[in-house]
Amino acid sequence: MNLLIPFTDLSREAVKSFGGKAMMLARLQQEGFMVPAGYCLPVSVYHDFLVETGLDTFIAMELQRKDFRAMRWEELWDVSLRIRNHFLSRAWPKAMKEKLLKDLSEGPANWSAVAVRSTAPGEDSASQSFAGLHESRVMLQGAEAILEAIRIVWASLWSDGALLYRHELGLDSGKSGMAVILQEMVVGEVSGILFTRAPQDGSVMMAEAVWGLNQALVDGSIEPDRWQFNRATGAVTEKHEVVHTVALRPTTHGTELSSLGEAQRGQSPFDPVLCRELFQAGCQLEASLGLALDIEWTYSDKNLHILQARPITTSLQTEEGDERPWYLSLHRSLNNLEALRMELEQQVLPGMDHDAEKMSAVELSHLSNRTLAGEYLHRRRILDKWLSVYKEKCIPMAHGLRLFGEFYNDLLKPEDPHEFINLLHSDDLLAVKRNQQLREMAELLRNDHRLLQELKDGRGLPDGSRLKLMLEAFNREYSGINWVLPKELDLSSWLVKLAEQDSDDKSEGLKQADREQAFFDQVPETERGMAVRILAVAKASYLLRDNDNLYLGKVRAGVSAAEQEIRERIGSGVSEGLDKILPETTEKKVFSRYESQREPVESPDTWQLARQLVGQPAGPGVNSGPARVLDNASVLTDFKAGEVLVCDAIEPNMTFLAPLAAAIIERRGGMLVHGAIIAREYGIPCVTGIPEATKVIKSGDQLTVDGYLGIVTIDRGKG
Amino acid sequence: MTDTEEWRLVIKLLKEQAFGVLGTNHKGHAYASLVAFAATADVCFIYFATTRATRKYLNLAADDQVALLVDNRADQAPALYEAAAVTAYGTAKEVAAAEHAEVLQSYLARHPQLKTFVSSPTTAIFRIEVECYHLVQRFQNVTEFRMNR
Repeated sequence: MNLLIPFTDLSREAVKSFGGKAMMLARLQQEGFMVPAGYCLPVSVYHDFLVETGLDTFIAMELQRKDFRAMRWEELWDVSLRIRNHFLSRAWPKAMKEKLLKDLSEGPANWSAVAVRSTAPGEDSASQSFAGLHESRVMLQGAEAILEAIRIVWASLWSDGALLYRHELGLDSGKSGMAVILQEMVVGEVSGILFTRAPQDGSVMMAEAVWGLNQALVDGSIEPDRWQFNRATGAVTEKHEVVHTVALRPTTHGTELSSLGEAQRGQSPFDPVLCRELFQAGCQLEASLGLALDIEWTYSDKNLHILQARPITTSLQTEEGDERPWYLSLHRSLNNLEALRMELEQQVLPGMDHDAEKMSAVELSHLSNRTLAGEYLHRRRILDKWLSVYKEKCIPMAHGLRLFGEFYNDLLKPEDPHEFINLLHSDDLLAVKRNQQLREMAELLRNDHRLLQELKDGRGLPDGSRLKLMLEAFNREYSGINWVLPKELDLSSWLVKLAEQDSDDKSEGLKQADREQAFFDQVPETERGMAVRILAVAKASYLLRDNDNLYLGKVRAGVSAAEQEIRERIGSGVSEGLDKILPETTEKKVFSRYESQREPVESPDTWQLARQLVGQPAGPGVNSGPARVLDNASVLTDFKAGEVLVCDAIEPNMTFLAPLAAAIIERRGGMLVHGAIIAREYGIPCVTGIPEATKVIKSGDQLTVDGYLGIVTIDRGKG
Repeated sequence: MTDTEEWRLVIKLLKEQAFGVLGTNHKGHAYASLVAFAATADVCFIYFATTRATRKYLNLAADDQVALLVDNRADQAPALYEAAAVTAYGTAKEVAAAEHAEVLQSYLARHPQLKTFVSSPTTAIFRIEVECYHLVQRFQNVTEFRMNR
């Protein structure tokens, strides 16, 4: 029996085997619409693959490791990345592969190019749409490329967005399955989508179009023209047109964006004939199926081909306050991220810096009460503006990391799905620069026993000494930013602590340039250009992820300074006109990427004690030591070398503690949180994603941190 | 005691499961046996029955320190993370004749099929006074409950 079933043989009752999308295409083909030839690989093959490779157990364990509701978006991404990696790295069961190769050789492998798409049972019904949550691969040539794409499409059943969506629909992730469509590629001159009823206004039909292949429209790489049609007459009622300069075109190794020729440059992909055909097809499809539809199409040799069709659904309402769906909607194409990077580097961060500088230039103590009130409100408006820009621009940039992560893993299939992070290290990271300078000063002190003793005895550094000059320069560079160095920290005594530590540099020996070269050496030549661009975006994303907070912190500091001045005047009784200016609470709750974590339940009485906690393994290694729970910045200086750092989140101002820590435990989860990044850099065991960590662990508890398995054991003596 | 999610799970396991694995000390070696148990409503005490000729009875006569493991596992690998297990640690003592009737009533309410077994003069009923519970969830999450606080 063949594993691949042609569209012509799909029976209408078999939606559970083939999924809604395949059934829809088969039906359209059977009703005479122009649909590219296709086959379907049923769900049963997916399940067989899972059982035969042991992936079913692995997935179940991943999904049950932590309460889904307590997972942050970054943790969902980690889960999905790990599952995806396992799909790609498990070998095909021998008999299954042989059967598939035979089926492919009798059909799809003979086409000039193939598209592989998801068709999961339950998706794309009238009430649910998984549009954009599962992956597709186009322009595939040869059986091996098709097999690879099948695994990628299967793995996308477990994409972070799909996991969240399934959870919200109340569908059991553990019982999900995925069928796959193999479709002959039709390379159209123009492609697009058609809504038989526009999402914003159901009284009109709406189409979008780009030159070339559709994928650039779907992933947002190319902005389309958008036209609306009268549903009764087909007359064009509205046009939104853009200047077209590029198109996605097939190449020998896939697709790439290329410049448009003279004839098409600046021209709309729509023309009257295409509009008429689209309108007629929309009317016929709707009449035939009795549903409003969302259609993907391509136009080739004056023929309109239907690539996909699904019922139009309304978007799902998520629980109020749950921002994870918003985070997960931030997928960005490479082009989009490159443009975003430019905007952040050239406009957003300098803009924040400029506003912060202007604030710090104002001598608040010289202002009258009235002017001070105005200045304070002005600063709050500026902060609100930047907070909103931060959410719209800075956070989406983080997706540069995931783009590179997927590219790296698809290509190299590493055992560790987070290996790619090693390539993102940047010496431009403010926190890394500062740690390096601290290390250099400590090294100097370590080699000068007399000076070390003098500092320990509380004597100051001799004027003009090298260390004093370095220290002064360090203070000039960092102490102005309260995010970077806590004011309470006595730098000299900190240096003494550092100097008395093991001087081993725990960071990996391999130079960054060597790592990059080793990576590029493994990238096929045809994809090297793409690899260079994706890595550049990912590195910028990694860097901005840290530095954007520091710049925003400077703006916040300006608001705090004005607030502080007002409080002081209120305290000293000269507050006419200032009393009602400040918000009720000391600090308005503002948006931050750190605030999406749900609060843990209150810790119970001492009769209930945590003995062992499970989080995400974020930095390999195992180590023991007494806990130091940092629940506010004022206890930073209490931290002693060899302690296990337990915190809500490692903020940029805390990363300098990391090299001295025996291990790190962070409430927030994810491989890309600061704690994990710093821990990997220094080779320190790290566990993240234990929401209750700062509540149930007390400073002084003896901890063992297993960074391989993500387990923290608390030793409280005899239980 | 605070009403927490973990504590509710302990109660649920002790209420829903009928059998547990009893650990006793046999001349310095661990000795495990399956027993039918019944916990009191406040789960401070757990009862089980054994005939006096068994090895576990002899073990208990020599050392009354015990552990009782109660879990809800299904024998399938994917279910590993779904399983929860609670272990009770405490001291097991034979129930005195004066309390026998009362204890028997509540024990049989949980295990009516064991009426003949527990009514035999050769059967002893033991009461474990629980000192602490250890709850394991999601394979590695361990929480301790100290009963004597």
